Amino acid sequence: MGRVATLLLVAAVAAVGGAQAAAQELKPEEVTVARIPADTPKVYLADIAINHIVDGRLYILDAGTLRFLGLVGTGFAGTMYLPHHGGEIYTATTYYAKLTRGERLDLLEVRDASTLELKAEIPLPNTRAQALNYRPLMQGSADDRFVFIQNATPGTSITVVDMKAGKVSAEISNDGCYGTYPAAGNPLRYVTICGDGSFGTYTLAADGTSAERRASTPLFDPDEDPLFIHAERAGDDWLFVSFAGTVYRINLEGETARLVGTFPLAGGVEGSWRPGGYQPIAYLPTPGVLFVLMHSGGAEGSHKNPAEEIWAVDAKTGKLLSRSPCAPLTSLTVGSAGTPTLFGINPIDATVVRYQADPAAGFAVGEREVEQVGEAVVQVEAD
Amino acid sequence: MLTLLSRLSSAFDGVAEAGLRRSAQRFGRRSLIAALGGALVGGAVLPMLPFDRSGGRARAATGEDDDDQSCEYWRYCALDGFLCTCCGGSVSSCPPGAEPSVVTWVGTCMSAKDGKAYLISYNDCCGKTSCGRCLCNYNMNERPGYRMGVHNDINWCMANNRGMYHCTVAAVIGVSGAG
Repeated sequence: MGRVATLLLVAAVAAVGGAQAAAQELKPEEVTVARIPADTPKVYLADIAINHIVDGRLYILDAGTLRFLGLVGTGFAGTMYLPHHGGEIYTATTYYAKLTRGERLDLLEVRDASTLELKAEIPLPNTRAQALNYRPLMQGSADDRFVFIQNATPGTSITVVDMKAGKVSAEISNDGCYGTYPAAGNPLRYVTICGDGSFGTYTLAADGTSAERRASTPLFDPDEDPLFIHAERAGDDWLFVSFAGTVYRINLEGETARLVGTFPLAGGVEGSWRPGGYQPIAYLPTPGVLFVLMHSGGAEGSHKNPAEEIWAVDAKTGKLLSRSPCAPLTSLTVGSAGTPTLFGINPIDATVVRYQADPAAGFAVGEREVEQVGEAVVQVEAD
Repeated sequence: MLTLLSRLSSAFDGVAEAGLRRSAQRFGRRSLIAALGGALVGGAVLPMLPFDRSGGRARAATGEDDDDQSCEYWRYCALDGFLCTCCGGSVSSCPPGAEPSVVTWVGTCMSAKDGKAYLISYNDCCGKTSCGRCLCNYNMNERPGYRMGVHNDINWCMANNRGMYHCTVAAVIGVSGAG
């Protein structure tokens, strides 16, 4: 052993001795797995990740701070649904055997909302609509027993999943129609919106294996002024909004859909203001305020344009309560926790923005936090 | 072209065919020009359309743009997706290794050069991972999924055996009947 090597050995022994002394004072950390406390209000962001579309994500943030809490992989054009009981997250997605090719496998996946661990997976027909995340493409019955998933081949149908049995119970045509709107008072009933302006009301057999369908008369004119498929539940009714800016209050509880009333959003307002985006309206149940993403200069083809303002409207009277400048948002939702809070998606900057509404100022909204997250988030949901 | 049209018609269970007829009936040349003009002004005033992050590449739409790698190219008036022209293909051909979708959505776009409205078939190109270049989003006459034949927020590779979305072309398949 040379002199240099001897010196190095001595130094190494000394270092080990020093480390042992330090170790006596330092308690080694144990690597654990975080979980999301069950009472944490959360925001959910569905990201189709279109630049690498096989790798979609559902991001989960703290609704109070926008702190990042975790994510769920949602595969290729996965959709999401949060059951009423709040303890689980459902996603429906496609996997190909060789990532971008090979045999197609569609699954409904159930995850625990705190651990985000996979609890169950249910095979689905491979007709599932691989689409941007619109809320009506995956919904649940009022009692959480059934999940309704939109299919497109491009002929359209609804896959009914019996969550109690853990399997698909039926695939029911809704050809010429799209999306589902479950009834609040009848867990066997859901409604779909149709290209002839009517709504189709389905009432399932108790075992979910079949359904009877009854069509309404046309309630809107899809040629002159189509309705966005994103709608908000308002008590026993639903609020829809048209491309040109008319709000439709429609009752979907009965055997056929019934138009309750309409009102214009921008009556008497200059500037050709129209609603726009993928999730252009959000509803605050108490006291019944509809928030709308609005852009000026609206015309044919502008229905997905990002917002310049958020308008707050009294959903009962149609009165415009306030107009607030906002980020270029294309999706909006209302959180239920505490002060009236809204969450918007800015797809230009790939951010989620938290706003607070001031009831004393006509529910005008002010920006509170901004967090960069995801790449192509379309759907936003909040506890 | 005839083959494509008949394939379109049968594939949509009549929905797209009806949509095509409706488009043709509804949009005479004058109303189409007025509507298109309005949308283009909107596009120019807004900083960017929903998923157009082309930044400095975005420029005022004149309707005379010959650059088929630009979102403002006239055929792209209802295109939502990656331009195949930026991915190794052309305005009517898929990039190497991809295949055209067997079903499509349809737009009616006006060429400023001759003032005519054309029917455009927006075939997705399928079977490869998403291209990730030149993402555009225009929605002239686009409608929600209850009018599936003119809906662009869905994977139109859905009826191909190779279902992965790669990019989108914009093939002229006819002149709009009205106008």
